[in-house]
Amino acid sequence: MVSEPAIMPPPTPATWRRFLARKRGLAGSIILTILIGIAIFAPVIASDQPIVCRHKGTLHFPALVDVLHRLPFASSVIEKSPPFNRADYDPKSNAEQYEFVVWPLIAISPTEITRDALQPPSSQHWLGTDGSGRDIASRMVHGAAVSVQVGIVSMSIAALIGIVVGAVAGYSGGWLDAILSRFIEIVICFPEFFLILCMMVWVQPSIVNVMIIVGLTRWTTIARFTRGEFIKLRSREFVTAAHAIGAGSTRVMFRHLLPNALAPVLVTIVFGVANAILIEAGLSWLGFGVQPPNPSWGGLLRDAYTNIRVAPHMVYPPCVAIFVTVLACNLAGDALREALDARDPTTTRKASEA
Amino acid sequence: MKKTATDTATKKPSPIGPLVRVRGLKKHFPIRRGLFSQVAGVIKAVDGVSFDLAQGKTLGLVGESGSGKSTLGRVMLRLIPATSGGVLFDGLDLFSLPNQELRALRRRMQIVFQDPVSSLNPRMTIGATVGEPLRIHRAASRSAIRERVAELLERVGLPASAMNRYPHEFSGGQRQRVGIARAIALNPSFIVCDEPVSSLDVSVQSQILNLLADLRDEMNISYLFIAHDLAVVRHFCDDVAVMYLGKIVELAPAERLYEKPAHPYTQALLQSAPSPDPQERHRHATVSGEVADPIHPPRGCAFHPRCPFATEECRRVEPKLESKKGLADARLVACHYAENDLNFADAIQSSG
Repeated sequence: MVSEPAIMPPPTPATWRRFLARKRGLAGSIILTILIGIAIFAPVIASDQPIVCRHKGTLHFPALVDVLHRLPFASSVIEKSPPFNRADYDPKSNAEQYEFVVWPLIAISPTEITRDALQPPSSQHWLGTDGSGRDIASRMVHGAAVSVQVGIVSMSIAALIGIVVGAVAGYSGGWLDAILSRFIEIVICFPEFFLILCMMVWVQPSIVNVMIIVGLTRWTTIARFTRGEFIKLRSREFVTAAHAIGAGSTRVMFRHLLPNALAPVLVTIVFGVANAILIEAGLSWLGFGVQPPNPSWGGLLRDAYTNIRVAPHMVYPPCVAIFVTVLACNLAGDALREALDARDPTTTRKASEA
Repeated sequence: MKKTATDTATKKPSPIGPLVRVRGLKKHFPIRRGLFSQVAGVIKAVDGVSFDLAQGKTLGLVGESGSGKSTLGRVMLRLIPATSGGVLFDGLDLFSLPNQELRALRRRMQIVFQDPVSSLNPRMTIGATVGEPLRIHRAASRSAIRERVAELLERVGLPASAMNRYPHEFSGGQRQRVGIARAIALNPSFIVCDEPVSSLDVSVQSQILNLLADLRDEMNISYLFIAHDLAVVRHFCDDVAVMYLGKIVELAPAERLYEKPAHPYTQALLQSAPSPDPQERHRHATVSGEVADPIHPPRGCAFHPRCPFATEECRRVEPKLESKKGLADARLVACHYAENDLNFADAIQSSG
């Protein structure tokens, strides 16, 4: 689409005020912000690479470079710093090589195997260690990155499919709407989790495939909401006005209808993120998701389940993390729905002023 | 050589002949019921309407709600497909134009809506809304669009700074000005005004009407002016067409129509308009009954169930819209007894 002067209104401050005025909205968004922060900066929080070190007179930022490397396409732009070998480092023997080193909060990699397996929480391993002697705290931090990625990427795929299908169905109506609606209903008919399980048999179990498959199955609600909004809006006079000035279908759909339909669709997307995180945890628990030794909350739960008699402490971190994340998404989605709802008592005052 | 829309979109209209010719225009909405959406009947919203509109002239279109006025305006611009009939716009058959040429022709025909709240996209700035026709038709370069939008806003009486604001920040009258600015952005020759002042305060109504009148004189625009307020139409229009159940029942020069309405329905409409003179109240006679069901319109003259002069002929034979020898002027009336000097008010008084 041609770049044109801003089409979206200034982010309606009243909506955000109403959203944050609700305890649910505030709590949900704070938790999600922290979670996304942990996910993005996981290598800085938990890693065997230092955040900053000076080696032979030059400064290095290995962990920060790792953060950048996780961004899409960044690996081709930024050069990866040579892996920092922990064994090399001894503040006594090679102090002249490393003038100073700042370690991450949890200075151990999520996949590093130590000799202390199934240890309860201690000052060295804050949340204890798993069956292979890996640090659970470090694995939890990196597992958060997996959950956030799955939530955001899979719902982006779902939103893209859902909005396009719903927009076309709602805008065109008639036989095309009938066909697309029946197609949506067919997709809904399959028990989702088993559909995903069946699909996982066909493809290689990996986080990328989990994201794609969740995205390909979770778009139906978004499509139905978009369709409904489009049907509601398409008879409005500003749409007729757009036709009257000679606007084509694409312009009417994406410049006139979609910006006005987006608010309720956004709410279903936020709820969908919670669902996608749950599905990923379930798949990883069953062994179809993230493959060991790479960490994920579902995988951690699986390890905890195997060792539950010997090391019951392992169960709590992934359980609490999944519960809090899903709860935060639902709280935020709920508050967002209320903030956007024009019939809400707190918004009627504004409506009567207008 | 055959004329194309792109030719006429840039050229000045030909001076000979009316700008818009409407012939036998019909719009029937099917009513679908049941599991397989069987057609259970049709609503004849517009049922065989014909008229001409000359360049720079204004035709008023009045009638009760449900008489098909707005539908007629939209069908004429091919915003909704017609059932049958035709519209010639500057010699071009609007309904057989390919889409590409139709879109080019849209520069020359525009519409102003009744409700200034829903006719502006709430998520677009005023500048984006007014500039959109210019962008669609590439009528100006990107930098020139801003200037042109500022010019248009000032022309309709809004500050150029309104450009960066959103519709909800404006009052009804101001929003209607934005709608007018959007309509005149491409210098159209024909605008359908679909009750443009009905939802505005009386004080604002006259401002908007004056603006529309100024634009008509300045740009030589033809209007189809749809309204239900007869007082507004009287001073604004050259000719007035009265619609009842999808048909025109009387078409006459505005002053003549008001001085001496010939059709009983026109008389009833004029009678029902509130008068500011309290002495006149005793002459106030209203038409009884409701507008007939458009799915099952009465046989014969559609107005006969509510007409005090209805005879057996009215119940059987539908009157044609034609000029009457007995009437001095060249008006068109669809009534068997138009020449009999009917007086609706007296008829109602004597029967009541």
